[in-house]
Amino acid sequence: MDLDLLLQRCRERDELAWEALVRQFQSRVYGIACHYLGSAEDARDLAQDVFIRIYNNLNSCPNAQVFLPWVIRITRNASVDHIRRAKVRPPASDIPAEVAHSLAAQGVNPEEQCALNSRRKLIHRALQQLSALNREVILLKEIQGLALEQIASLLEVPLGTIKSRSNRARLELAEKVLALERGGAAGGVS
Amino acid sequence: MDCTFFEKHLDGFVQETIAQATRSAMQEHLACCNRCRRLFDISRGEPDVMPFETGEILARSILEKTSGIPCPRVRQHLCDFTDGLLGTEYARLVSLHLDHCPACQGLARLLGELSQELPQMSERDPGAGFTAQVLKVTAQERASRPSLATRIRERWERALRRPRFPFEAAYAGTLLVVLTLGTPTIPPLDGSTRVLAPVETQLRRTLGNQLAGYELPNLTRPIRTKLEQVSILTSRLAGLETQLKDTLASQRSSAIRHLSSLPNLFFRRAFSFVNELIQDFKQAFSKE
Repeated sequence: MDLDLLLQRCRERDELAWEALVRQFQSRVYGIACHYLGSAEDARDLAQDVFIRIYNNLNSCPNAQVFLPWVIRITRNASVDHIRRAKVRPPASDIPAEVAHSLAAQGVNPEEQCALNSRRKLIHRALQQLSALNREVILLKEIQGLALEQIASLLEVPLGTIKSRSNRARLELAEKVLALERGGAAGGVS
Repeated sequence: MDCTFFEKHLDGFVQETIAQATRSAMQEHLACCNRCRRLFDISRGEPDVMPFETGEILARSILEKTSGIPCPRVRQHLCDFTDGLLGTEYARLVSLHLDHCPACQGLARLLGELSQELPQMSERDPGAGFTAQVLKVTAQERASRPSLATRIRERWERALRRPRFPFEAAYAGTLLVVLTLGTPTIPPLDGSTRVLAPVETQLRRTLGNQLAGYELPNLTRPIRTKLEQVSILTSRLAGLETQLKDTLASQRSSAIRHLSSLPNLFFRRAFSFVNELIQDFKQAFSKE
């Protein structure tokens, strides 16, 4: 169903439309929460809170074009609030095993799934080694696909800074992944 | 055919301007003579004349001694290169570098892979039961959603409970009063010249009248006396001017002090008034 129509029905408190909307966006909200919080349990609770906020503020979202950036903004702000409240930084360690298992794409055979999981774990570890701003730029631009202007507005950082950071962060991530790959290969050999 | 004949006709052979029979003979010679084949390769500018490794070492050595190793510059453009955003000419240069630099090549390959892999990481399955849980919670939210009047009342009560509310209300009230009624202005201080001007005029007129009765020969002594008087008067006038300025300045500063204390006084009274108002509201709500 067209997202505009879906949103309109949700605003009219159509329960089926709301269920469809939740199913459509829950993986994304949960994914962002996982990236920020690093804990599957916390991310699940936060994702639920985010959907309650979305439900209560559906009238604040003008149209379907800005719905996804709006959802990402709410999720990001809720995650940052959660981190502030807990007074802890997102763990620099690996993502928990249960999250890693849930990363698997549907319909992939076990070997491919295992390779995919280890690859994503590697990327996640490399992401944790980046600076906070670079990590957010990668998360919002490369992973969530937001436009540079939207990221600048969300992070309250000048557009020029985001533009210059964007490519640098990608290159830095690639270098970290390469270093981890080499480290892993060297560890495997020794 | 001997090698001397081959060397003599080599240019024609490369440019294909010799007769077919000569060409065939030269090709036969080429098949059996390594020296002439090497000579032919050099004439054609074949890239495999120099071994690949030797070429790489040579190129690196030249670059180190001239412009430096171009890897950092290539890496600045690597993201745009993998995204296809570089201009054709520049992309060709980057591509040429990548053909000879395994490190940059690996990085470019990885950037390409990451641009495919990262968007796939945007979603994660929150597990079974998540949707049902969200729907249950939002249904409860809907059921317990209060009416508009109740929400306004709750919001007002929440606002009242905030410790800084009296301060904000008093500040807003003071600001409103000041903006509505305006700020009293203070008259400009610079009136000393104007105030002293009539005195000076009167003095000049008096002196002029007194000097008018004197004859020219007897004028020296009275003029000296009058000049002394003028000097005394001028110094008194200067003293008077200073005194006047001091008085005006002190009056002005006391007026400013008085005026500036007015909003403060009003603010304090507004603050206590709003505090009392809140207490009344709280009592009223608690009774309800």
